Amino acid sequence: MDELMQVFRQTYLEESFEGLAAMESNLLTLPEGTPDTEVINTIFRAAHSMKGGAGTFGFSELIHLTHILETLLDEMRAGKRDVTAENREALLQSVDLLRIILGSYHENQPIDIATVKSMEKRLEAILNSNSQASIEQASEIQSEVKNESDLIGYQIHLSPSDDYFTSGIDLLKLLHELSRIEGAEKTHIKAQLNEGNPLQVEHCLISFNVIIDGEVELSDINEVFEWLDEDNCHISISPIYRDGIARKDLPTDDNLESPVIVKTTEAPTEIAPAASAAVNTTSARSTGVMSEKQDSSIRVSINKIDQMVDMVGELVIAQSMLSRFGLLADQLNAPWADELKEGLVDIERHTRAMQESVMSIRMMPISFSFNRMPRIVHDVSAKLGKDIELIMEGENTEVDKTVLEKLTDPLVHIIRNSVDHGIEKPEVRESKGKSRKGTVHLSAFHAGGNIVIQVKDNGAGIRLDKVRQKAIEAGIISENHVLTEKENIDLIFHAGFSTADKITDISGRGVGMDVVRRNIRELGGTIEVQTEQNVGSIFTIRLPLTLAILDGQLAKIGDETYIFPLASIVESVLPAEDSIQSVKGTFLYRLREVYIPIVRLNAFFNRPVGKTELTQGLLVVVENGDKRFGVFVDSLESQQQVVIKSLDTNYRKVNGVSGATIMGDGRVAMILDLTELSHEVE
Amino acid sequence: MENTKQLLTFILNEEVYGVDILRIQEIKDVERCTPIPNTPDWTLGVINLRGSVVPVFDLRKMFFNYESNKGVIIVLRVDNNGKKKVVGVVVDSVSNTEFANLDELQPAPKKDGEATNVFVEGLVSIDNRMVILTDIDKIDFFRE
Repeated sequence: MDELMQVFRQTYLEESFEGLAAMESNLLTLPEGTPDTEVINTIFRAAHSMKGGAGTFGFSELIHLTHILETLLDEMRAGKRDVTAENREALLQSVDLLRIILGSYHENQPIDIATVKSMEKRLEAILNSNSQASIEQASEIQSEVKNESDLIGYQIHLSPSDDYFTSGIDLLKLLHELSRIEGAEKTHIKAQLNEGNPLQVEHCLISFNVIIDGEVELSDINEVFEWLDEDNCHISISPIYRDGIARKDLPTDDNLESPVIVKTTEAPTEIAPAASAAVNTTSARSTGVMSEKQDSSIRVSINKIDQMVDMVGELVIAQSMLSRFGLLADQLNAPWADELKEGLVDIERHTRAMQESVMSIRMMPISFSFNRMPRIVHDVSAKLGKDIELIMEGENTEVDKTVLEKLTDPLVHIIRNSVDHGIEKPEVRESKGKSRKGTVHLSAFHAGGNIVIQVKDNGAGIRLDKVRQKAIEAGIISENHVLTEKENIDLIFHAGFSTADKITDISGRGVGMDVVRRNIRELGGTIEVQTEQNVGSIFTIRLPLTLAILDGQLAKIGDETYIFPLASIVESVLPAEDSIQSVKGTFLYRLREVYIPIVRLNAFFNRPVGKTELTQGLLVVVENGDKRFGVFVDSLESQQQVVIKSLDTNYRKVNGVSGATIMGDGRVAMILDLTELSHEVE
Repeated sequence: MENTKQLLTFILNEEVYGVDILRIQEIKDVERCTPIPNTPDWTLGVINLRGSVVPVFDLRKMFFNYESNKGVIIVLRVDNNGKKKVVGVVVDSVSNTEFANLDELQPAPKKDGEATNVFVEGLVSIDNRMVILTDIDKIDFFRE
């Protein structure tokens, strides 16, 4: 039971975090003034389901806070309260707080009660404040309060659908529970036989009219129906008031049928049992959000998927081992060679298909990361008094989950930088003849085997002279260092570099762009910056599609095998003697009128193997970022898919090696890290 | 038998060493390793241990400066600054599993500058033989 509860709790927390994200994004789109009921409803629902679950798991801190939130949202929904910047800010901050609380529950950490209380106070203060709308409504509220005291019971109409029995929920038990609700004095149930073929025993042809007599809470009634699905059973609940009928007149069956005796002040409201608190407004019915069809999906722990990725990885290795026997069979002229080869081709095809579909499970839309950005831009620009619009594109581009997780922080940093340093204040922009509103354009798309993410702003651009000056001050370069424009820009990625004139809490602490670049490099990616004075800057991040499996090109030095990422190879050439030149100890190769530097793999790795004479071996021309260079190896072998195994797991990071893999013969081979190799020739 | 520990004993430089048996994952014949570039010579390389890439270190080369074609790989779990890793160490041979009484642990005579000082925990006597108890986590396998 405990274990089961743990699972439910985990699901609840996951769903609540999703709910918070929905609340946040909807709050951000909420314009000031009279609120958009549909948007408020969505926010309300998220808060409500959080509250419901919190009760189940005894998260008491959460219940009270979400309850106040609900009240506030309810007033907005009913048009009694306008959305003001202050209200919205308070709501956003309570979303933050809820996230912290949920996080604490998640990690079983104690909760900072003081913070919770002060937020509750703040929300209550807003609730008690007499906004103009609330004065207008005051009398109405009072009359409602009076009505509340006149409430003497509820009428409930239950009409199960034909196939209700398939839902597995015992109707009689529900009816029984209704009669046991706290405060219920009497319960009158009348069953009706609907039209239909009574011989179809599997069909449910009964509907019920229930009148609960007594001071009961609507929420208690809703709780009884919590597990009912709207598709399975249609429920309508309407309150009964004293002035409609005297209590003692109620309990006759005929009365139930007559509409005259029950005065309902509101139209009976259709409710979805799961969102049962959305009862008291008619607009709740019209929300399109709930009826939106969603792809059906299941939650799976990432561990299970990783296990599967591992297994498929092993399969790829086993498959490459088997495929060697295909060649062997050919050499032996075996009569079964063709059949074996056919089988092997099948295995290869299926392994590849399986690998692709397993990898696709790990893929998630980049919106998981992008969704955080509107809030950040909103907060930071408000703080700095800037007017900034964030445009996002390609949110559905899919990336590997691991990439996604490591990508978010660098991306946040770049966006903050664009908002803080890039976009100018409205007045400054005006004086430059630009529109007051700045834009930050965040986009993601596929290009080749890469995911490309761009952050483009139309701000001031990076002042290269200023960057240079700061770099000299920080001792990164010397006074008379000659830099190309690109090298000049790249200074911002240097550790300890910051150009902010004054250090703000938004950016400018000098930890930043170097960490950004390191994170992206760890993912096997690159980052580039283009900038133009007063026009803006573009940050371009390129990342590999997936981390786990790579199309590799095997190469030999001596009897050792190394693997190139196939996507990086431009071509391979047999170096001719007259195309090789030595400049200050570095060998250059003339490739169609362009000189490219040469890295000797054996020298780089300090291995006493392989050829030393350049004309005896092979030059693999690779491209990394915008750098082209040649890697000298003895020979090239086959191309194959390799499963990347981290060396870090049991050893540590090794310069020039991005990981290892297990080959068809069971031996380990190193995968080259071309970014680190390229530093050799910088 | 209050404070006892079961040890795997092995031979290194003609001396008997012991390591907590709970750390041992398996014992393997020495096999050809794939060298890791730019690492110390006692880092033999990595092997494929049923799908895991595991580094192998030659303790003889690391601490006693001799080489031998013979030997076995003891695969064990180590703690490297809080990170659990699986490594293989090459020793001359493994000898036995025995119980050691830790209450009888004696400090080992340490000579200045001796490389083995780092991982020797002390001496225990088992059946009148001296066994050098080792703390495998103290060895820095991962240095450049």
